[in-house]
Amino acid sequence: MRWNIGLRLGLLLASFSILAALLVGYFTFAASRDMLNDRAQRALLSTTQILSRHLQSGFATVARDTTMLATLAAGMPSLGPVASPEVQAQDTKVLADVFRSVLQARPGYLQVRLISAREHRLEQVRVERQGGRVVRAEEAALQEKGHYPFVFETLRLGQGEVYVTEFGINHEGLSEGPSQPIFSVAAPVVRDGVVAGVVVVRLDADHFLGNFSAGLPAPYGFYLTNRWGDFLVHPDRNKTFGFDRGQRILAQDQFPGVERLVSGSTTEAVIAHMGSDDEKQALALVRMPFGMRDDGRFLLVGLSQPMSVVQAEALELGRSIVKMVSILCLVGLLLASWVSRVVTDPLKAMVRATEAFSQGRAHGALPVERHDELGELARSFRDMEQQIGQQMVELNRSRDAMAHLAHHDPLTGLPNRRMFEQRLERALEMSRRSGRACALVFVDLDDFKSINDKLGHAVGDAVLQAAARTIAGAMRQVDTVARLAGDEFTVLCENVDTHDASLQVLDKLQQAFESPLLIDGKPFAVRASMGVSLFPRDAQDARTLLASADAAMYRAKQRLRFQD
Amino acid sequence: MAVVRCRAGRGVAPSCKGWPGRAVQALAGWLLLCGLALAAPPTLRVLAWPGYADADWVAEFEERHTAKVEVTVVGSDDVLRAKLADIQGPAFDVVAANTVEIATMLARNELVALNLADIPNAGRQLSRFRRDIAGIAREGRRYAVPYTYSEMGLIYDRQQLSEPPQSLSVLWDPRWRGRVLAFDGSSHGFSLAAMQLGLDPFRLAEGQFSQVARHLVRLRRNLLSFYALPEESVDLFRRHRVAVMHANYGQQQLKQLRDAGLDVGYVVPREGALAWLDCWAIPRRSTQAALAAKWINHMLEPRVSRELTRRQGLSNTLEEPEALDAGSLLGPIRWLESVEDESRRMRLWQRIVSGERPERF
Repeated sequence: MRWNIGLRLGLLLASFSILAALLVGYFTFAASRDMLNDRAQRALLSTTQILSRHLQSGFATVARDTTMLATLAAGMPSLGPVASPEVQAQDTKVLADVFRSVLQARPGYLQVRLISAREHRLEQVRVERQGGRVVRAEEAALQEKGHYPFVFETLRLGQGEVYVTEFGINHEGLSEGPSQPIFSVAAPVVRDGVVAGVVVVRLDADHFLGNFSAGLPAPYGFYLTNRWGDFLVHPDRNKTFGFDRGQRILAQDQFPGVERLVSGSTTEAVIAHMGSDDEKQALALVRMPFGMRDDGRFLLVGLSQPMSVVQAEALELGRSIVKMVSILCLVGLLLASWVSRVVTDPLKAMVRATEAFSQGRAHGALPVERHDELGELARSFRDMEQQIGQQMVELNRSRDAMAHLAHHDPLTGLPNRRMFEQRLERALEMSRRSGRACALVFVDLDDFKSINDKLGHAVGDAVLQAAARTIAGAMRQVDTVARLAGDEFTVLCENVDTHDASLQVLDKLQQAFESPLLIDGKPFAVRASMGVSLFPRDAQDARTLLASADAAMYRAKQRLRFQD
Repeated sequence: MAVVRCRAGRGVAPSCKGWPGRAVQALAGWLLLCGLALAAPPTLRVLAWPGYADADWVAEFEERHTAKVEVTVVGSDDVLRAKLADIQGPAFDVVAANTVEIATMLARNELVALNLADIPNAGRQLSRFRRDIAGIAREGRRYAVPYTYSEMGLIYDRQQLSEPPQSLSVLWDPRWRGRVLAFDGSSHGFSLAAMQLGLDPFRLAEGQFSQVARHLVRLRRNLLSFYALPEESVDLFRRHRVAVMHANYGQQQLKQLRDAGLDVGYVVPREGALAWLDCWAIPRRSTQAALAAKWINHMLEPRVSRELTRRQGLSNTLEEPEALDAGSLLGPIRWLESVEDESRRMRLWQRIVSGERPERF
């Protein structure tokens, strides 16, 4: 490939446009991606906040149920210390029936009980779900519960307040199976301003939380931790309630930044982490106040989403930007190629013109009418071309003159000896080929020396010129008349086949010298001696032929002297 | 419930090195191989808990004894047992385990008797660690050397108790009803009650179970609550003006309470305190017994042992911990032993904690 200007210019322009498109594309993408990611993260956080509020309202519903039951229990006179066993039994039966209906109405409730503040906090009534049935515990199976927080914490509360326990695995009795996650809500039974007992509702934590997490679409992962960061809900169930097995599986050990939520320095956060299946996840966490009293307790509610979902819009945007950038690049390429043609076409025309000019060929029109640098270049080129043309004409002319000088006698304008010898050689060659003879006449002016001596060189020259004219005038156009030297002239007549014909030529010349020559308009008698030789009869080469004619001329001159 | 140990996690996070780092590692590995070909230093395989064999101590040991040390870290007794039982895996040369595990291994004849002359630093240990401790000695021969321990003393509120409680009976004292905390653990719970009753804490006779269970019900009635996690105990202590607590996590718990701003004291009462005690022992499968003895000696260097206390908050065997001065150490420290019937204790414990009345035991 030729690395020409057009290509370079095109590539340069194309690179610029592609670079510009890429830069614009990248920065647009980066800015919009951050914006979209931010928005998606805020959306995830908002969803988590909504979920956390739903959870709180769920707790509030259970709290209302519990408070209602506590109020009901407070209205039973039998719970007082003075009631007879019969009245007490009747009242607890009524209460047990109420508890039973509550359990039947609320499938998430596992157990409802009334615990007395007396008798080492002995249970008074316990109704619980056992294998799908709701049963009331026998009197002998009632237990002392004073060491449980739902008792000792609730006994400190006032009318209308409730205590929510931490989430945990049930170890209280074995009726519900070994590893059921539970939590309880307890309300004080306040009679005459004194806390006489506690109503405790135990809930199935899975069922309760399922109400909230069930509605979440598939890619969401639901997390819940207690105030120390122990997982209560985790997509991997093995990571929940680790503390119950003697190991702590803490959110702050798994996710960076949770420490700040646990310590309370922030109340919400969105963090990125690697999910179990090596997919990057976005996790929004909200610190949800928990428990009805201002005791600083909280739960961390978390929702995770694959980062690909969070970034989906940004990726979509990225794809659009790639398309847009591609189109821009294509347009840039086309523009670059067009611009490069606009610039290089006139240049190419100039190049073609220069090539044609150097080879002496004609070339097409140049863009001289343009008003830019290219037009200027074209005009300069045209001027230069014209100037060079003129100089060439003059050069040729002077070369022709030089050539003429080299081959002609400057006085008479006749071919000189050099040219004559060339022509003679050529004529002999032609003659050998054609077989037609040619004649050579040698003419020598008589007494020319005395003319020069007596009348001066100017007259001598004039005589030579007049003699030349006379000889040329007597001969055919095709014959070559030359001045060899001094007053010696030769005539070469080609295609003179016979001796007679040669004699006719000689005769014609002699006749021409019969009448006087005109020198400055005055008649001046000049005589000339002539000799002829015929090729190939008299000689086989130019020198011998010339010598033969010279010899014939000399004989004629001798004869003339004898006649005189 | 299994013994819950509260140890500061000191797991070494895998460093994230770029390829130059890897290249250096590869080069180092290659050089090491060359070195092995020339000198072939012996490899010591150590099985220990997090924080027991920190990298700097290992490097120091490697340099001093021209050996290579491979440390395998375990986080629970179950994993420790599994690692030792794994015949496919490498044979460990030295292992850190508590007295109960050591006793089990010794009973199975899996340990090598130690020659204490090879471990001169053992002579620097406090006298109670130089005596024969149940489970780690047999027929007058020592099979393990104590390394670190944590005793379960009593923590009391100095505002409410002007004098340190002398006896475990303070937990049963009705004066403090509703202001006592106990740990929710079956094995230790029964041992605690047995100690208070003057019985062998690890070997209850058949007829003693209901006596101890009823005693535990009495304890329960005196409690504010049982706790499982140290944080939980701190929270309860603060919010409910607790007077006295059986501290399952020992001095680590004491530190947490003091860090929370509570004016608390610590005491080992005259009945004594249960304590877990981790010891170094050399398994019979070890191929580097002499080097393992040097390792144990290295771990008992005063500098290393003091650093263990500083880094992990665990007591070492060379110096009495600060919290246990003469006035606080009123009774013996009872190293944990395997109990007569763990599952029976657990079943009874569950009923006690659930709140069954004493007449049912």
